[in-house]
Amino acid sequence: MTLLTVEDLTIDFPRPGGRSGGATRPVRGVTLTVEPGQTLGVVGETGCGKTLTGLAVLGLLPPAAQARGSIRLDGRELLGAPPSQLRAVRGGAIAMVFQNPATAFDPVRPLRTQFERVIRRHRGGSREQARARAAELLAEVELHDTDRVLGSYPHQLSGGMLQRAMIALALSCEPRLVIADEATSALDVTVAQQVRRLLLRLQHAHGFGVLFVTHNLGEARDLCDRVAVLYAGEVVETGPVEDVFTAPAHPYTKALLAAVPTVDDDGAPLASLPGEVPADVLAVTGCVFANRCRQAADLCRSTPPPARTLPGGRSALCHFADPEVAA
Amino acid sequence: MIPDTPHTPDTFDVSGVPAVLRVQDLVVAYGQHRAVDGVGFRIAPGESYAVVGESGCGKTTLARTVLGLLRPAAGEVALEGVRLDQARGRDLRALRQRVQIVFQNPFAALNPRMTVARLVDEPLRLAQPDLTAAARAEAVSALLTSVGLADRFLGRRPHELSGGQCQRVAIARALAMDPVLLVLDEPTSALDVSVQAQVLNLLADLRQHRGLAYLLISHDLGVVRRLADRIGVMRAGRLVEEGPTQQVLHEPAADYTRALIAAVPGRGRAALMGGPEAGDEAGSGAAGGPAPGDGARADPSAKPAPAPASGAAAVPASELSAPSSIGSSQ
Repeated sequence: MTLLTVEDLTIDFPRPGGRSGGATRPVRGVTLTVEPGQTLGVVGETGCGKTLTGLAVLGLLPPAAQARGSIRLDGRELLGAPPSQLRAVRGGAIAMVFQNPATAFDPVRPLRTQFERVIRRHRGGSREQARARAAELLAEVELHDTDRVLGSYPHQLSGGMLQRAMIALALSCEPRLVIADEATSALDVTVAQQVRRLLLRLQHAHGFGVLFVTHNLGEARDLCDRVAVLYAGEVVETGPVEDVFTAPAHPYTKALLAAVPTVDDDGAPLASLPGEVPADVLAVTGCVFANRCRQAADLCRSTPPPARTLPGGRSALCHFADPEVAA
Repeated sequence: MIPDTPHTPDTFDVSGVPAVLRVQDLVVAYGQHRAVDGVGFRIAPGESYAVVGESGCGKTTLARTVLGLLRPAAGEVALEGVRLDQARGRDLRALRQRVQIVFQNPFAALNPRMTVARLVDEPLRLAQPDLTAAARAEAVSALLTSVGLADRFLGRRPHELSGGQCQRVAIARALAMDPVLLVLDEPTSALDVSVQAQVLNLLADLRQHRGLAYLLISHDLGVVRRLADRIGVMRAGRLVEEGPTQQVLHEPAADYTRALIAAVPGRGRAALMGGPEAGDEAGSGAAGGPAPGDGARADPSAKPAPAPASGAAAVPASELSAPSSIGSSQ
């Protein structure tokens, strides 16, 4: 059974005062699935809706946001579920690893207190049991000096150590799904690589599914089984990660991949993507990418593209997405 | 472009052309801690030199010293042959004008209350106080054009600009002082991928057309590959390796350089799990001595594993022939 199903998720931020003009819709009809033990990468640039999608799954959208659609964990609907039910799910069946561990932990309490709270909240038991569990978890994320780490305040630990501790905390209640939002972006390159390896090892050992939100395409390639590429609030392409990266079907995915400077490139000017995301996507009549797309035709400017299903479990939101052309 | 001559940091002048920047036996200390500990290199006119390293390696301290904002404890910093570290008062200000910096976060670098026109006009007034208002307005427009911004941006304020546009304004401000050397401190790491490409292309063009020299501070080897002629790999206050970009990236000599290269994501899952443990090498201390603020070093999880003879050796053979980066694989 599919672990997480996000179906036709749309998030609106209405203009204060109830006026209809100026409302924003940062997420528009997003559909994603995460299978048990698999990693789905949600990749895209600033403002594409990737973080809001992750927050919606956790029921952590800002109060002003209005979400529609469906978010199901193991078939149970989470969107619109009562707060008490969501509190039980958050930190329990669904855990979150945030980008900046230095701000995600409470700065005025030692880690021990924060571990105890989460563990006892979800699993009950005594303080001693919670501490034992915390020590066990830290060992699992390769923080072996457990007494020192648990006795430390967040500012006393390095970024890499804190992110490991955050992952340990996320695993404390044996989650079925881990949402990692830019989990390595604040870390040094070599530390980030250790954390990526750790995540893969832990996933292998525990079998949780991962929704991996990142702007880093290379990282998505290393960690994910499948990817969903978001642009201006829509999923423009999905598929198995290697297929999407070696033969992208959507012009945006192609442009994004071509824009990454690499260690091995030949020094020719990078293929930068001209223009910007339209300021008001709701006013666009056709495809929202048409204004930046090299392949845009009249059809693209007049008619929104359908989600085309392509062979190999892929799909692309483009009138001209053609797996043969792409491959 | 400057040919890659054999590099001797302690020689004043190798090619007959005075270096734009010469750093020699530089030590910068905060109390007892030597953040920069005996660094030397030179940058020729029009050359782009990248300093690569992780948090706490001293690269930002080095940049601040080159800008004349920090005084070295020992060693020399010379701009076009003039000792920056010994200059005072008016002389120091005049020298500082020759070096400008572009910061990582363009939103934080620009005064939010100023329009683009005023932001670019401000340094121009300092650089050329004798210009008339009309001549300055013309110069502002020309500077903005050179960074790819049309006149319609003149009246806008930073919050009305995208990150890439803000960074272009920051570059235009730096150019207004007519520097010989631009210090680029992680100039694109706050930008989205598609915007980063635009800014990198712009920086490459500007160097070509203006003969500017760059001191690039970065942790992103892809960016470094794109912008730098030579690389110095810095760790715990020292240069552990230096050489032409191609050579350092493709035939790294230091274990730490190999670890940095191996840590670049995008080679796929097999390579990630099969490569050398970069962090372990980071913890084993090529330059010796603990450095505060270095996450990798402080991490007790870093096991003392023997460093592989070559970073590439631990990567499956299939990965070696394949493009190791996503951008070139389509």
